[in-house]
Amino acid sequence: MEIIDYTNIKGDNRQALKLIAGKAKKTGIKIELEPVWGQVNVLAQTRDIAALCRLLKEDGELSFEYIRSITGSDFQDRYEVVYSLYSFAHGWSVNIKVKLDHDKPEVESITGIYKGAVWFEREVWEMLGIDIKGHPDLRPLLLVGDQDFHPLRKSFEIKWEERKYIPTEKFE
Amino acid sequence: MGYLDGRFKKPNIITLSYDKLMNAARSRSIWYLTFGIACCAIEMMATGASHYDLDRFGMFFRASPRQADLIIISGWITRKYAPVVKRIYEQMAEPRYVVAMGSCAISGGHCYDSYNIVQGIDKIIPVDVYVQGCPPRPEALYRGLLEMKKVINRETIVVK
Repeated sequence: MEIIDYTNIKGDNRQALKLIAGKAKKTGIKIELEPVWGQVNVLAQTRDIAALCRLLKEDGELSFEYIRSITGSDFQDRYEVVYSLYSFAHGWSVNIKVKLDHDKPEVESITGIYKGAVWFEREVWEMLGIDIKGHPDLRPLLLVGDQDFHPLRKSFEIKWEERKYIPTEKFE
Repeated sequence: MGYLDGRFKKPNIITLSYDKLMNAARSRSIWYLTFGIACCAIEMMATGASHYDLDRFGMFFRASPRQADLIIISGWITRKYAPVVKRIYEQMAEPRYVVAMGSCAISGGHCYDSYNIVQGIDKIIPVDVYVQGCPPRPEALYRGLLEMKKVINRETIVVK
């Protein structure tokens, strides 16, 4: 196995922007780029997300092999899911944003490409109620799972209520 | 040893009630579980460490619930974590005692109306002593533990 010293590599994101734009055009994936303060933000279409992640990971010149996080946010008229990828080889980071329909938010799972995405997608699913299609193990991560609300949605209101006692059978 | 000095140079007997003997033994060797949850656990560790030194009261951290007498609930309990805490409590051998440390363990603390919190550990397991504070200082905690001693000294074998 080849051991590479990554410590002295300083990423220049402008090159990443150029490369991603070129390669996405070649494979027919529609993206918009917005460079923001050294970050690379890529606006992608919802149906392209798996294809785009696969391109970014498996292309030798890009090799975004690490998923940092997946987060979601509620903008009242739409949901956005942000995938944060990182390339150890070049020191590049890229944020992919997809916009989802507010009435029926659903997005394809990328667990087939990044195995580390399993927990992130579970969290997005339970906190925002975004349906992850094709996820292998969609269980509640931080919540108990008996609630009928999604805490990070803007429509969720904190109100006083007496919490139920949790029977021991739930454990295990 | 005080009043026992010199009385056992020859074989001798002591008469006292069984309750007093048991309570004296139990209250002077409260071994508490090595079980920290949140930021109160830092204060609990400080109380157990050499500066505040709970060892002088005969209290030690014990790493197994089977061998511990006391559990200090030192932090807020999420609803997901509550069955685990209950299970640890049930693993302890009787007599077992519970100290709720800090406002989160008493009533849920500043997150009392959160969607994922148990509003006080006494919703799950019975509590003997409440120690208030956010977090309580080590002095407050060991005062609570000395109150715990008083609770133990009040017990009788008939009731138990």
